[in-house]
Amino acid sequence: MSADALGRLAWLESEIARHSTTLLACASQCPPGGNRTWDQMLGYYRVQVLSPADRVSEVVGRRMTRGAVPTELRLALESLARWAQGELAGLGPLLASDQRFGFVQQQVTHLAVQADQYESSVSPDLAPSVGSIFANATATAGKAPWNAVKVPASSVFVCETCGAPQQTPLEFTCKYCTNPMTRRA
Amino acid sequence: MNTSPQQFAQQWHAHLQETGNQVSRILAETQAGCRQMIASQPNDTLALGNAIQAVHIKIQTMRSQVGTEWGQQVARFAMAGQAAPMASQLEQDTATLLAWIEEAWLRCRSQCRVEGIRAMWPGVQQLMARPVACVKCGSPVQPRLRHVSDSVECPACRAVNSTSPDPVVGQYFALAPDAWAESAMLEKRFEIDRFRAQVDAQRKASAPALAFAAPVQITQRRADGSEVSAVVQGSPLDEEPVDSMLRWESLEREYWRGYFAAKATILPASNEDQAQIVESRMKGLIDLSFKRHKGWCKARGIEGPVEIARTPEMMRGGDDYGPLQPNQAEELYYHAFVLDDCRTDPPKFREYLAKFGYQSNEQFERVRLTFNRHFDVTQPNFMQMQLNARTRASRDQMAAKTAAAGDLLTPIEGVSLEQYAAICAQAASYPTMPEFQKLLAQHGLDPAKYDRVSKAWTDRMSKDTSMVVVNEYSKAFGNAGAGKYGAVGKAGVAEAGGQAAAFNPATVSFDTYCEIMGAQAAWSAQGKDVSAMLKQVFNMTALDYSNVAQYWSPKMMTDMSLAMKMSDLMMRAQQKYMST
Repeated sequence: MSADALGRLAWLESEIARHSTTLLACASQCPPGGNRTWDQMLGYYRVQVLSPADRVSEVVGRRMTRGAVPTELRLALESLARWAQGELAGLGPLLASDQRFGFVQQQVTHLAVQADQYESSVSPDLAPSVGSIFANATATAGKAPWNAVKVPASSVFVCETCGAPQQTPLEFTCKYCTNPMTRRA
Repeated sequence: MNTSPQQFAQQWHAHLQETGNQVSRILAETQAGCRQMIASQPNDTLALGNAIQAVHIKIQTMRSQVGTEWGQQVARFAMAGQAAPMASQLEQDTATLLAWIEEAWLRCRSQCRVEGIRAMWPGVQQLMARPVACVKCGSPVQPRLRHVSDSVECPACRAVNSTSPDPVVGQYFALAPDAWAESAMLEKRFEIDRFRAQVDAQRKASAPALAFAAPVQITQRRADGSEVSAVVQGSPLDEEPVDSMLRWESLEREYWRGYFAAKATILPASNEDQAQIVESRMKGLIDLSFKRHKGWCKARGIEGPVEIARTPEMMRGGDDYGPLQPNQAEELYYHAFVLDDCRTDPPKFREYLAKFGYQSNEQFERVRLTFNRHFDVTQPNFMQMQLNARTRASRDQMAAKTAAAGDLLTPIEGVSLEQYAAICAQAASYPTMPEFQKLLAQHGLDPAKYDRVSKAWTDRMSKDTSMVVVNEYSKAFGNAGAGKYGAVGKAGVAEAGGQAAAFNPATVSFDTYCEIMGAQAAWSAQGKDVSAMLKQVFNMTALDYSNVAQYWSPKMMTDMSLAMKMSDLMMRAQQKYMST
């Protein structure tokens, strides 16, 4: 395992973190649908900007009040991931068994999750309204499995052999047939 | 960064104002929703509980978002090489809003819960007064207790009747005592929280920007590649004044006394029982916070915590591997975890120090510094090594606590913890009453005795701050092998105990386990019933999930690669189920 390869891996790790932080910060700070800085950022990552109509449609559809459209951020993060995967492929033969290599691979996979997180942070409709919470609670509580269990006010334990009722609490030998009322565990 | 400081402050205040208004709207809607639900279905405690829990998640998410956004704003200014304008004032305003949200929500939640139990009470009284007839001959029987099961001999035919409270009565007595106690003591809890927030703010204001509890070695790399390093003297924060600690202790004790006295007005408990449970609540807090405070220990006449014996001289001194060899880094981490965990228990600390072969606390610190100096923390297996040491230390500590548990594990009315856990595991498959009675009879119990034993074991678990009883119960529950994933649970118990267990992960893969966890988080946030949804989507019961978790949860604690995958898999599943 060469020190050069390890150094390159450490550099890659910090670069992925730096680029993803920059992308997320820039995306979340622009007005709904983006701005010129965001367009420049997309150009840097070689991502085709959505048409104005598509941007508006996404902003309205998601009821966004801030931030670049999630589709564009996802494309930019995918572009970053592709570049990082290429770098990792070069380092793989030297470092594949190294735990840090696995960590950086995980970091690349996590970019997709960051895109999901961004999407939910700028799309408030994913968070349930109080009204839908009460509707869900009413609709599903009745389906809980224990709701089907009936508890009678009273019940009598009977002997498995002769069917006689128990005559003394906690006495499990039948008074009638003298057999155990049930098999012991 | 074109915003002027004044504009930024205005925008941030407007944002806080809007968040506060939004929370007020949510609280008003929640109160209205709860009242409507209580009026239409006063006994549906499950639906009410699920709804309240979902609103709780919603409010906590909003609180954490405000905190995150504030952090982002500060970071944004820092990245531009500036300090956030009026940072301390805005930070204080943000903290004030967060505290207001918390208190307003907890008041609202408590009020909804109390309204719920009040609405149940007339029905509960009626159900408890309802006549009970002998199943065999129809003659009236008179249970002595109506809120738990009882065994009553029929005066006419002598058949033993097991009487059970109506589920509504059972739910009332399961929920009302704590809901009532929480409501009675809520303002006292806020008084304590405000007091602690004030103390923390004062200490933070007087603390230096950068301080180290113990000396540290700082290394800087020069432009020419050479390194220069220096030891920076430790400057631990001043201790909180002892009077303040004593006041905190007294407030907490008042809170718990009041809490359990209020609880006893619904479910009577002897003064001795109340005193015991108050002490168990205090013990957790004392071990965690008070025993770390030297002044408090002195005031209470107990030996203070064992400090980290690191000195600048020691850092410049020679190597000392003590009882270890240079290749025993994992063993060093194991020693460090065990010793650091018992610094608030000096006799135990000294016992372990001697057991591990160190001459003194100072020698242990020299050994730790020696390993820190020479061990390459960039080694591939460094994190796994630490994880192994942590797992082993936790396992050994729990084994030692279990061995010293004394009466904690003594059977209750002849029913051992293993037996009780096995019954609970079998009963988790929702048996009918005759099936349940048969199961109990196989263990020599009837429903009345089961209720007594169950309450006693639950009380013991709640008072046991060492967690020995909960830990043993959990192992026995998994070992019972109940349900369709019983073998998975058993394998999990074996693995957690360090034994190899045969289990085919294809039965329920790690990915599926994470998906279920993510789905559960989404359902809770939406107010959906988790058990109902688990059955509907994964065809699993709570018992099945418990067995699966018994296998994967400890596995994840010992395998770095799984731990790394978990949060992503869970997050994606949560997103998926939130949008359905």
